[in-house]
Amino acid sequence: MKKVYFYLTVFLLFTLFFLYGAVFYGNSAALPSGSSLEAPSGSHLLGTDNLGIDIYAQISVGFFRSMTIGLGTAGFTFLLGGGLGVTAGYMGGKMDDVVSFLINVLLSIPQLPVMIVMGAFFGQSTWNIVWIIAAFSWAPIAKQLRAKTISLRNTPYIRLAKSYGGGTWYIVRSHMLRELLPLLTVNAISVIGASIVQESSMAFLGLSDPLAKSWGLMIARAKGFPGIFFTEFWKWWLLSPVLSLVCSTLCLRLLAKAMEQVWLKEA
Amino acid sequence: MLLSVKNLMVEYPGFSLHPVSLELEEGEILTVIGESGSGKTTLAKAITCLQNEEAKVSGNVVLNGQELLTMKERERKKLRMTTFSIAFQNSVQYLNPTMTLYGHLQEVLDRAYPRSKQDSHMKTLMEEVGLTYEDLSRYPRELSGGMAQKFLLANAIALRPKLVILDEPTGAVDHASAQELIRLILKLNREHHIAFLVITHDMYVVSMLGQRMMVLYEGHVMEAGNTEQILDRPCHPYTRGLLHASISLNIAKDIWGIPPDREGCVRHHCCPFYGRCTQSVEVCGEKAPGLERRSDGRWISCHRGGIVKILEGREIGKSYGKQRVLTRCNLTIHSGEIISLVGKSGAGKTTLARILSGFDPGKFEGEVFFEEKTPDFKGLHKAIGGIQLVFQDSEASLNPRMTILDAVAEPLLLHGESLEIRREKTLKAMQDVGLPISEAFLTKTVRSISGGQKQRVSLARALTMEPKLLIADEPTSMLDPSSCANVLRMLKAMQNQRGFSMLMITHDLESAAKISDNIYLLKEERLVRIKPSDYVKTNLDELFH
Repeated sequence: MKKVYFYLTVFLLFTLFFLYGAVFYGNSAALPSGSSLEAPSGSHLLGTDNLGIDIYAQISVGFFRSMTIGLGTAGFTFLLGGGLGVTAGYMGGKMDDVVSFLINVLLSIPQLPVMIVMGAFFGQSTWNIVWIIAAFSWAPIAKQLRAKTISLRNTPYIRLAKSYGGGTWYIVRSHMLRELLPLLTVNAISVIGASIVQESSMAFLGLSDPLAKSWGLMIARAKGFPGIFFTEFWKWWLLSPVLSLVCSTLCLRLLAKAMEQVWLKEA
Repeated sequence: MLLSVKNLMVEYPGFSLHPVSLELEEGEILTVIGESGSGKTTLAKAITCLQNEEAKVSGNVVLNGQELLTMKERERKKLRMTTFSIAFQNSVQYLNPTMTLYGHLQEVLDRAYPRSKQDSHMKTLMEEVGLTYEDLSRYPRELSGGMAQKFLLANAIALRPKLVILDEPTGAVDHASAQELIRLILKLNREHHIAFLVITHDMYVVSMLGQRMMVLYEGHVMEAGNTEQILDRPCHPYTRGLLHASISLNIAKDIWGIPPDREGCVRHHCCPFYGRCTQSVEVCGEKAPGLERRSDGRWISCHRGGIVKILEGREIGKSYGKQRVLTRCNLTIHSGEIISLVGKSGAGKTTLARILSGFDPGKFEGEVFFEEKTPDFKGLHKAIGGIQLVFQDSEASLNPRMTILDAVAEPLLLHGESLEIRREKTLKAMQDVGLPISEAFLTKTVRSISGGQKQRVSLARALTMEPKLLIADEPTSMLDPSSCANVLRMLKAMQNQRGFSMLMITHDLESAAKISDNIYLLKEERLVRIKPSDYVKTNLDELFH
């Protein structure tokens, strides 16, 4: 439990750091506020990019955009993966066959290429990104929940509860939810991290909203600057978004891991 | 036909003997058993016309072709001792304390033999009953209970009557003397072809004398028939109660008295056993049942046709793939009965229990009946007063995250009971199985309690539904000896009071023998009924020799 609190605190600090950058910092994330490619200084904490736009402001806005997409995908995954997984596991039969088939299809498709194709096909919008990532994230969760539901469904206590006249909703609510919810939550949290990386990848490839301030897009622009590694600029322009991306996803991943240890090992 | 009694009725203030009919062939033994006050002695007195003056007697008693009741006492006197005789309980009271035994016997023999021939008769008589000629010089006060009883028997058979009525012949004597007397009665019956009507409250006497028996309760005949059959499978709840209360018949088993009358008073015009019966229905409270003959020759007076069948499995068979597990197994569980199913691990006990309880039985051969109908198992599992199953693995049959209270109350909750009723019944069931009912314990989670407690929690959960039939798979396997004893006694007590039936699956033969009414052994696919008393022998009597 200590670990969970630790990572939550770290994540909160990240959030506060980026909140400051997005709200109180003063420099715009969209318009130039200094000269081109300024090194970090008092007025531009992390310097500016080639257009003179403040880097700190950009990665701060990028954080909230990433988190929105991550949470959106996670929510979507939570509902779809949880719902379909439990339904398939509990009902069995035809329903299970159909859901299992879908899960297996989604698991066997190479994700990034298909996402690239779909992203290109449906156009560059944030919402498209959210649901494309979600569509590929629910399958592993559904698979896990389906397995867990089936194993629970066959425990004597649930069979007895059924024999006492317990309906589906009662069984799921009183006997299964407390087992399933932690599993679902832990998985959903790791989906947040994963979808931030995926969104960045898509943005890096230019498939995300070109006007939005996204870490992937920032990395792509910096990398696209001719001969950036021969200059000093990469130290603030490229490193900042990369570190933000790595640190925030790592933190989420570790948080999920810690929660898993606490909630799922206990049972 | 030696003795034929038809609709004999005796009425005196405070008691009435309801119409009793019985028949006795020459050389036959009929035992009449009942608790004190059931009218046994009244019956004996009425047959021999020795009843008190205020008693009103009606009906017919035909002895050797002669109607006794309407006969003048002068005529009857001629038959006394020569055709029939009677020996009462508390025998010494019936002897004149100032007269020696010689005098008593002489008085009887005077009626048939000249004095000169009496001596040899006396000698043979005394030897026949296991006394000596010298004993004749004693006074009644010098006799032990056993000796007095033997002498009375000698007196009763002195003139070689065809019928001897014995009222509690073993009532006041020790076990060894009782056995001697029983052997004596059997010998006299065999050698002299004397018919005996023996009245007793001791099932042991009945079981030893054999032949036919009749069960009397509150002046009503409850059951009559072949002794061996009745002892093996009593059909009337009262007879079964008497059998359960007999120490000598239940060497391995615990004894239980019949519960006292819950109505508190005897209601008129109802079945006399109504208030103590565990299977009574409305009609039992309205009128007394008549004695009827069943197809198997048993006479029984019960509106429900005797102890009802709760569950019956006929010709049950089952295979798992090529592995044959059960073949043609027949099992009947009656109301208020505890049946144990014993056998080695892997013998198929649990499989049979699942088939009988309708809990995931899968495909099987044969048929299962609940109260003589094809059961709707789904309905029975969730109904109050249905069938409940307690799994062997109590660990897995309880949700580890639930609180104890929620776990035990679950069936009632799903049955739609209100919070108060749920709590009340849950606490009652938990107390019954010996679990603490403090708030601290109730709010614990299932996972935090011990294995033995879990076993009791799952038992309590099943009991909240007040099942008619409880099928329990190894209900005491995880319990320490003391809790095991408590739980078994609790189950037995509930069976005794509420009349619920239980099928217990166990490998613990001793526990099974202690509480079960019938034990079935599952061995090599087959089900065999076994009697623990065939394997358990005591020789306590040796102490007296």
